[in-house]
Amino acid sequence: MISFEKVCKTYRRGGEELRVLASLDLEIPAGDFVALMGPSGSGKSTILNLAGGLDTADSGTVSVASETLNRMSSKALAQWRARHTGFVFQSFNLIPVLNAVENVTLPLLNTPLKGAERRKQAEYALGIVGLSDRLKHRPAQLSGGQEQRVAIARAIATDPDVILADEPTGDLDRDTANEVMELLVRLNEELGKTILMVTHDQVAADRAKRTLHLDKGELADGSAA
Amino acid sequence: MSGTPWFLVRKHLRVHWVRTTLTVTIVSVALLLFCILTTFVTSLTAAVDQAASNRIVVQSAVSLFVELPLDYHGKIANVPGVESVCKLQWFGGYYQDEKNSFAQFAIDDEVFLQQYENDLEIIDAPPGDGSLLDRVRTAMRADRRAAIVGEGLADKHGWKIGDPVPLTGKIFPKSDGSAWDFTVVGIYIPKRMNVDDQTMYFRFDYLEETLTQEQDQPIGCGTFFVHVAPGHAIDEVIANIDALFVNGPQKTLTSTEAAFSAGFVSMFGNLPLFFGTIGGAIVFAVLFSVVNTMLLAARQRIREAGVMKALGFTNRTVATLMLVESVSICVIGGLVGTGLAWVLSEGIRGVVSVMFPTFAVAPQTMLISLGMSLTIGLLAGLAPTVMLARLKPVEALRSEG
Amino acid sequence: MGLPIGYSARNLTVRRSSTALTAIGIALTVGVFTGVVALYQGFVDLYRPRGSESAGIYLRPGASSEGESGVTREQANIIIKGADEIAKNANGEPLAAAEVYLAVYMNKLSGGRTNVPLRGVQRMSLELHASGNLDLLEGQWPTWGANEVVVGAGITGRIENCRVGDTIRLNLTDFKVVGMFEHDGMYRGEIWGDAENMMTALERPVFQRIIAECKPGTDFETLGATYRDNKQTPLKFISEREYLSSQTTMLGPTLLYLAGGLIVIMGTAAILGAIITMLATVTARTHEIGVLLAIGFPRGSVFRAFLMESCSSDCSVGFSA
Repeated sequence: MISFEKVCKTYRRGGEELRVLASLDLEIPAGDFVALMGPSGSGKSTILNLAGGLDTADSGTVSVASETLNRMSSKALAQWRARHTGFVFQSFNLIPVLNAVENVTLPLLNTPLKGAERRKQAEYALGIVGLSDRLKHRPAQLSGGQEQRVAIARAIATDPDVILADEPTGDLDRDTANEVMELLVRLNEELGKTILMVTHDQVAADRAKRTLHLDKGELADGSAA
Repeated sequence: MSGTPWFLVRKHLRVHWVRTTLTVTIVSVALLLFCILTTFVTSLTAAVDQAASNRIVVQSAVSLFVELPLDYHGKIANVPGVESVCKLQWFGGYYQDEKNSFAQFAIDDEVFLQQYENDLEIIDAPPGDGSLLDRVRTAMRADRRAAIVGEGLADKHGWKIGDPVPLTGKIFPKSDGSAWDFTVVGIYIPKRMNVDDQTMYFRFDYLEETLTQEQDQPIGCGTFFVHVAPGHAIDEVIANIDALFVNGPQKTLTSTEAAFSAGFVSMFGNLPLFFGTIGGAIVFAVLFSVVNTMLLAARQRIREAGVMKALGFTNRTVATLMLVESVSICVIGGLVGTGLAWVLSEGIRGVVSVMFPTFAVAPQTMLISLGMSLTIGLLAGLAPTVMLARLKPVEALRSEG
Repeated sequence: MGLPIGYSARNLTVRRSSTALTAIGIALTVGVFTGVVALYQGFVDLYRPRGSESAGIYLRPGASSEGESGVTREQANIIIKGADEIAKNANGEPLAAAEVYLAVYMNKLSGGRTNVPLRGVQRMSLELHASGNLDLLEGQWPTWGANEVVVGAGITGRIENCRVGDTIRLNLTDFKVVGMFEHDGMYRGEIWGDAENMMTALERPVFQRIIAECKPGTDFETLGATYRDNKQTPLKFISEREYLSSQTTMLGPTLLYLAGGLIVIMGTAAILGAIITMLATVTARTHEIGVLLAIGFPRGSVFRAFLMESCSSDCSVGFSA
């Protein structure tokens, strides 16, 4: 499902070159649930961004859902994201001016669904995360855990192949974090979603099928191939 | 792209209602001002723009306030190409109180009604046979004191056909201090902007006869309005008339009606420039306020833009939403301001009718105003739109706020 | 603990682009406000009482300005020689003059025609108008009985043929410009010559007004009523101050509403502009405010730092505007 071949990525920060990934190889099959761990600056967020088509590699090949992302235009990449990915962020990133159901409806605008169908689909997704009673609440009126669950509903609303989660439990307390992890596991096991999750949290990582350790842009253990 | 979330624009406008209200208000205030100031200028220049093309005006070359001898009338009429000559003398009287000053002209009634057939329309006349114009023509011939008045003036003082109108003359006072008596025999509305509806026209011979009885100095006339017959060069007729009187007794200055009216506009000095400067400065200041506001709106939306892009919305969609928000704020402001100008126009005219009798917001002015609101919206939205379009999703998601 | 002033200064430079925009916004706001104040001042100035309270003006009954007025030679003779209220100078001559007034067409140096007030004066006029710092800047006063004029300093640079040595043609007669004068009031925008010569040149047989210095204690109101009802010399008699203020009130309502409306609308625009700009600055930095508060700076000191920043940017811009 996700495959990195000799991927290099270098950032320029104030004249200094920072090589984040040097010829990285990575293979994640469909239906997998991978936790990506490592110290700050190890390149784990970069991997997530490359896999999600938010950023492009300098060299090498990134293929996700049997499409090669390297040479896509920004417009094609956006359309690809709409079809194949769902994002979950550490700080939820719900749109504050929209209520829960509107937030979840948002990505559905990029699908052929009509207005009423979009609404039904959004309510269905919110049902999966257990927030059917919070449709009209704005993000500010929800707890952190509820916000993240709305964000997860938004990520699965379009029925994407891959869910990319960036520290999904980073801003949550232990109990809420557990609930969110429970939800991700269910998405993986029941709906068969491929999940790539970046995290610092060992407890969260333990819920994944396997854990990859990243250090200075290289995978520490040989489980990648 | 199957759908653009237009509702986001509405949500943003509603959630940031303080900002929306302030911006809409300031744009509407600016365009209200623009409309009103422009209307002052256009109502001044309307008489120039809409002057009759075959009409020329003979006046003293020395001063507008110097009268020409009455025998000029016949001399001008004999100039080849002159179709008709109408005396027109400023009367300068007031009705009951000096505050009720308005324009009154003594005219040759028959020639005047014929010369101004295309400039004003009679809307009320004494009962009788024939068209309104014919009835007014007959009534004016029949009564030495007959006068026609503009509809606005008649409404202001409640005058109807047959009503007596006594006027006190400031330039031509009666020696016993009494008022001049006039009778309303016609009410007109302007057909063109070179005429306003705040004026009274009455018979020159009434003025002439009365003054001859009262004083021993010769009577004169301020201006002669001349119609040039078709097929004659206006410039030639003008030159021929002025040539007649180059050695006096009063030198004349003949010009087209447009140039004559332009002379009055120039009496207002730099008013158009002054109004233009104020209007320009305000619109410019408002533009910057709106630019500032929109930049702020965009800055607050960086993260949202990143999320939108991560969700698969294209750069174009994200940018379009920003531009539409800016444009809709400004266009709403434009509609409010222009509408307000249109609504207030009548009231303003009532207040300034002495100086600006044709004050009315022209459709072109309203269109320009709306166009300006659109332009302000586009200009103000430009920088934020480009900023959001160029934003890389990764950077956007990393930003604060 | 207070936030150092340096914080505000540093911020102004760091946020250069947004500061520049705010600065321009405020500059324009200040500009508009300056316009409002200038308009208001101009208006107040227009209505400031001016003209002498002891000078009397005689016009035709019913006339509200010189342009509409006419005073015959006989009337002028009777008043100037015989009126009791007129003061006398050291030589025992009555301090009064009959004057001719006409707005004539002249060409502007910048092109186009305009109206220039022409005043035919008498010898005593110079003594009567001396109170307004009447001063000959160049050349000499006209020779009485000659076709000569002096021009006010206010029109020399604006109107054609208005320098000393030029010739002004009035209808068919040439007048030589022999001097230029200055005056505190409106006379600096006029052309003066001998009243008799002007009446001949313009073929106008009447004066427009008589102006006189009245004896102390003259009751203008009572005397005005007497003149109005006088069969031999029916005249309108008012003080110069009242005459000049009535000239402004004629423009009164229109100008008053016009200026008032402009001031209100422009003021609203300026205030709204300032509010929007400040709102933008503060909202854009709520995060920063939060951080400062979190670090432990007291509310008051954060508020002061912001106030100082907005004041300093406003002031510097205000001065340059």
